[in-house]
Amino acid sequence: MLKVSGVTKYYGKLLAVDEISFEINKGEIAILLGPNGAGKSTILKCIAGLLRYEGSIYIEGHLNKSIEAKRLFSYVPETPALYDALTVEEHMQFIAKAYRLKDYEEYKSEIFERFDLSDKTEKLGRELSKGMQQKLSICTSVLTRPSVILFDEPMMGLDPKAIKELKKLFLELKEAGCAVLISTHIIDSIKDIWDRIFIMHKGKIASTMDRSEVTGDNEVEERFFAVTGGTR
Amino acid sequence: MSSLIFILRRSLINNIKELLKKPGILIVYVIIGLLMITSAIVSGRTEPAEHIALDPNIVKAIFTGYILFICTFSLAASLGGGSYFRMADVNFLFTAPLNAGSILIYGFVKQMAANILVMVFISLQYPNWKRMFGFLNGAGWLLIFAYILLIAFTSLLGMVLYSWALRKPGRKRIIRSLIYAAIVLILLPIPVQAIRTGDLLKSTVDWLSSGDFKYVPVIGWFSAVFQGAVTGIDINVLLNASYLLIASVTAFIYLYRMDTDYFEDALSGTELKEAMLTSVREGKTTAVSIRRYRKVNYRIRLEGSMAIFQKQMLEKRKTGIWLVSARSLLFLAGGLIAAFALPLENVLILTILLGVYAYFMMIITMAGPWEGELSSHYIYLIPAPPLNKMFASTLPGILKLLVEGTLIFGITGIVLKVHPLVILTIIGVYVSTGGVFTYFDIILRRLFGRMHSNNLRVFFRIFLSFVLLAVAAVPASIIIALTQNYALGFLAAAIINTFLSFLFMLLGVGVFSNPELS
Repeated sequence: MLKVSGVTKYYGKLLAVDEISFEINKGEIAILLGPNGAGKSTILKCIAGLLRYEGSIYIEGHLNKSIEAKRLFSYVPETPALYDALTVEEHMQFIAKAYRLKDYEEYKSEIFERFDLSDKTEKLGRELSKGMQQKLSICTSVLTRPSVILFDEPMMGLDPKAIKELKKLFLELKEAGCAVLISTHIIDSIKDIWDRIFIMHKGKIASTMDRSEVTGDNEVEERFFAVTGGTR
Repeated sequence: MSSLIFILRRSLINNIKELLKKPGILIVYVIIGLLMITSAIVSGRTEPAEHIALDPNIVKAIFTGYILFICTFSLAASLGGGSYFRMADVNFLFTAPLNAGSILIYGFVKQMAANILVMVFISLQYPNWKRMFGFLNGAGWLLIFAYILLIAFTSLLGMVLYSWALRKPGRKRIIRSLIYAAIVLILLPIPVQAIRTGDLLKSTVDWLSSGDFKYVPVIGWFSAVFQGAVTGIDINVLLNASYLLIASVTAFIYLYRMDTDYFEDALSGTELKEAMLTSVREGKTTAVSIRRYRKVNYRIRLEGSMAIFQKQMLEKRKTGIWLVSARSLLFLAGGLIAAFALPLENVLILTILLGVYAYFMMIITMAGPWEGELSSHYIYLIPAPPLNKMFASTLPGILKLLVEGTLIFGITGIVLKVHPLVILTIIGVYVSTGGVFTYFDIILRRLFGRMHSNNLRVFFRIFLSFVLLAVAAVPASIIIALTQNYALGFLAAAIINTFLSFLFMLLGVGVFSNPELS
């Protein structure tokens, strides 16, 4: 469903992502785990088509920068970027039209309800708190019912209820057959939901873990520190 | 103080280091530097041409008008919360055990540095101005000094007014009313005289160049200093410059003694400035960033890339400006004044207006709404071809030009009884010229990135845009000269401009498919 092959990204002379390859299948939740500066956001941006890179990225067989691929994936950036002058409702309307969505109203109401945005539909983007902006950013991304969804540090700024809802959403997306890729550096935040973990360090995938291989509760944390050189 | 000098020094060094990493941009800056030096040398050798130099009274009137405009605009804007600082300064400096006055000087130096670009512009245009206005040798340095003084003084006075206004509710309104009342009183003799003589242009020039202004504090002082460019530096210029220096130092001492009180005021101003800078970077005007949005009933109905167009139209409607801005009305007023005041052939007046407004369009550094789109990831993710996204993002700006052109040239043309075909084609030239600038800006963005394209925009607009405009203007002039058919000439210019716009669209389209190019 998502196939990343030999992706390398330089910022000037700095090697941010070094020959990364992985695949994520339908109905799978994969985590990019790594310390700050490991290259997690960079690889997500490469997949989203926001950066130039060497290598290839395919989404359901389409090159990631093609219009066909853009119809299939969504991206939730680390920092929500909303339009100041558009209300919450108008953001959804805009996305629905830009992606040519039909019959989205019911689903929209449902996700608004889940993220406590139902009573804020007339609020402007700039009037929302950072957490609310993040919630709206998530809502606009799931509205398109993507086949592949990329989350960059999605829990930043969210309240405990929203985090709980978001985790539930991850699982629902998985059940619906969506390939979910989440970048984070907080191990606890993805404890119960992951299928596969790619531990990133210095631009490389330093280790891959599969849920079926893990036995102990602390195994992810132990592997993370072993790979990245830190201590618990 | 040493820590503040450290910030300034390191910022400068780091910016230069950054430039060294981008040789293409560095070369452009070096060329600008060389042009400035050449400009200074050429202007030193250029004698004011007798047949071009304007009447000294007109030059005096232009100076006084400019000073009035800057003072009114700057002081009124400062009441909205002016600040020299950025949020990093607030977080690091305002909380540090540093002398408040030193921090103020630091902010002041930064503010002055920000005006360097304007001075570059002055120096590049200076040889033309010297010939046109009949400036004396050495006048360029006097103008730079006067300009720095004008910016410094209005900024300081603005901060004093802002700090004072915050002490009690209602003071802001009082000060703003006083500023506007003073301007009305200062300009009142112009319409009074115009009614008597029936000549608005002459009345304006007569009043703004009259010696009575020396009795008006600040405006009169500045007027005298600026006029030194034509009259030479005499005791009068020195005396007025010293008044202004004393007034600036007094304002500075006042702020210095307010100590931390000022910082409290500066904090809100800085937050506002930060928001404004972000807005400007994202392609919104400063006014929009602090404007309240209206509630409007509007549904986005178009699909795909055209949803971007409708979103922008929705945003425009919410600001209340929609397609007619203050600039449009100002240009229309200018057109009507020209229609009544200029003793020239009617179609020639309209042609001059077109030239003047195209020049304004060129030198006014306006970020278009398309730049705002590039700051959000949505534009890159929307499943539509980049060319369509580019078209949809720039269409509101082009529509605005169409409305503006129709308003200015339609009304002025009707007043002047110009043939409808000429009016229509001149509107076409106005809109297509705007198109050339819009898509040329996108190419600049592609070549130099956001920050540098903003800095270099004025430079490129002045140099290359003249060439670009000539591509349409020269054939149009030849056609008009040969056939005496203005409509045909303007039609040719509009077609050439449209062709250029399409060419630039194709060259700049990468900006809408790859954020790294923007």
